Amino acid sequence: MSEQLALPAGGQQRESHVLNLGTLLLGGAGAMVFGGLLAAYLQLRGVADRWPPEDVHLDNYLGVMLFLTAVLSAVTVEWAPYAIKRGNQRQTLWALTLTIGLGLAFLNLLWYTASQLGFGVADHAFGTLVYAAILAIGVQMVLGLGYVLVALVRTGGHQVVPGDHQLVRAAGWYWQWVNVCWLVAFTGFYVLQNR
Amino acid sequence: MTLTQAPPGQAGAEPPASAAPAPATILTAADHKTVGRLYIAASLLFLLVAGVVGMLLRVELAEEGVKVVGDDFARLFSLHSTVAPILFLAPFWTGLATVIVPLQIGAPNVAFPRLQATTFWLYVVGGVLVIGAYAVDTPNGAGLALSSPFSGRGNAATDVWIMGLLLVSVASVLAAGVLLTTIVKLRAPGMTLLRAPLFTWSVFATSAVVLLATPVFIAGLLLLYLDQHFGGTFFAAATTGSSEVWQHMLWLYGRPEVFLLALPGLGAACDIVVTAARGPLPGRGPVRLEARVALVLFAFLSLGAWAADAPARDAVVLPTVTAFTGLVIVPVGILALLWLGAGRDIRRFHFPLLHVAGALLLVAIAVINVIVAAVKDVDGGTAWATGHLHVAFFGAPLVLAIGAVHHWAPKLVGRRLSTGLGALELVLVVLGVGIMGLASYLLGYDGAPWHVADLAGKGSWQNLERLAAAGGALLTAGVLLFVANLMMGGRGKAVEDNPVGGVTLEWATTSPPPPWNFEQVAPVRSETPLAEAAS
Repeated sequence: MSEQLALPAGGQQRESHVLNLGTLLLGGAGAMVFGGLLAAYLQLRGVADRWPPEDVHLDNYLGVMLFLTAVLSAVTVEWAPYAIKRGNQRQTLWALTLTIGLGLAFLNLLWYTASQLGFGVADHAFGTLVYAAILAIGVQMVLGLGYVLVALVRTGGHQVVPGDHQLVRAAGWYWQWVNVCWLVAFTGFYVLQNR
Repeated sequence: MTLTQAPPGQAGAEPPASAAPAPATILTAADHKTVGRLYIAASLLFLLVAGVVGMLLRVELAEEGVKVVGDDFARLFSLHSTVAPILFLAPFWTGLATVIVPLQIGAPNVAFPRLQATTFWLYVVGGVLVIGAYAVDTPNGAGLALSSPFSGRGNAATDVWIMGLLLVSVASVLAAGVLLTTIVKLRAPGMTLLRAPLFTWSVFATSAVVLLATPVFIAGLLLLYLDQHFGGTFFAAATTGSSEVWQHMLWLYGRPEVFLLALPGLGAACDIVVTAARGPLPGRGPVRLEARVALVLFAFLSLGAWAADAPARDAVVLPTVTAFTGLVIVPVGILALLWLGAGRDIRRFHFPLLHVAGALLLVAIAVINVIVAAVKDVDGGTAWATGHLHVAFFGAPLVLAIGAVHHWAPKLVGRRLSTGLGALELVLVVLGVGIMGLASYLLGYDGAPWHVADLAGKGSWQNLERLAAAGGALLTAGVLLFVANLMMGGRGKAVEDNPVGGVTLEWATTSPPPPWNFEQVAPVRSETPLAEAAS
């Protein structure tokens, strides 16, 4: 019987990444939602006589500001696990707080962008797609904010410590998924809008 | 000495010291067994709704000119075809998997118990909204049964219908993520993925496809909501290319979905045969991959069949996906051969084996009719499709679902169900599905259309419709008997921990299992650990 006491080396290792895997799967599902919208975009763009429709012009300034905000938050959200791994709780709290601030700024700018588009949801298929993308990114960003906020509160309560910081790591991964989604939308609607 | 499965600090675990469970209310329940039972109960309630509506439609069709449902045939047909697969079979398997998978892999709970409980409530609220939408009015476009795009400002029912489906879809994606994470991360020491039981494998494959396909449908629903609520032109016929968008988004979800209704059933059938044979299914080498490959292949092919009959313009992939659809029968055939191969090891009768046989009979009827339809060049838009949907994609999975409940009843409800009632319900369900299906097949061969309230055609059509209604009545009686058996069968009789001689891990715990599932789990050394322990 004694040899049965030996546990496979992977046993405990598996347990420690439950949240990471769950987050990756959730992020993957979110990416598939966005993939569906991307497929609709490519299909409509491919067959449209004119794309985007006449009199539609997206303000590159707002798009670039959203892009820069997302890039900045990508840096701060990576700073958090880097700091907690080194036992620096103060820096971790700063990193997460900054990420939340940038996330709120992103949402605010996204809302403003939607209000300045100059066309409505129902005006044309392009409009429906743009608003759908904004809605999808907005919802994912709100979920990401909630995730990072939980990480912030738990870090502040000393529940996240070096070696047991998968909450901060997982929240960061989810945040990056949302950023990737925005990057795809930015490329499709802004960078390629007149090509 | 063995490993305790509920060490302090382990995700989702409750230490045995605090074994007495708090009297959790239904609203706050987070134990996987409670959540799973709630899923099963709710799905059976939705089946009741779908069944009652289905019978009303059958009675309407049975007599020409009779108006049982007034002018609401299209509305009720849409409700029936939406509720039965989306609100009954798929959530039923989610519920069964939520109860059984952690037990099969030696885990104390699912990976994210509260999230799984949340998915249940999302599903219930979404389901009520979907049915409520039909109570208000007919959703624009008549629902999921039609893959044509619909445009223009929708009514209130359309908004509610889309919201309901969104909630149900989000619930199914999250539940799939929870189950997949549970299987990958919470297996007992020594239980490699290849040693996991076959029902767990089928849930693994099903969850993976749901995670890939259902989010695309969510994107489609989002576009549809914006289009319908704001009166847009996205899905208008004049908008070039958008019709294909909806068709593909709907069918990328819908096609795998109909196959995934059967996949957990195939896994359950494998475990039923393994239990009866008291050993693994036949296979080559120390790692028997055949059954596992067949289950994964079935899932892969179901995803590949996503646009099989969507009338998408310029769909260059059409021949490919049609081939994928036809190939789906290959893994089913492999599994059937493996079950037959294990038959020589069966030394004692295990009641749910009859359900496996009943499901195979229905699959055989469906396959024969596919061949006949191909030879006779039957149009897919006839009553033939009604028969095929009921035999292959509802009847066979339903029989396997009932068999799975009989098999795992000691773990699900802490007792064995009555086999006398069980035999009667099995006969009624198989006979009912068979008669209803055959009548519809014959109507289809004769060119009778589907989706119509009255068949104004040949006189023989009316007789076949009456036969189909009789089949529907038998099916309804069988399902009601099953529900009664599940609620009351075997009450008051003590049940052993392993009354069926099971060889997988779920039979190593008590019936019903304690809140923490296992006092101890010895390191797993094979895919049938209890058989190994006995020898």
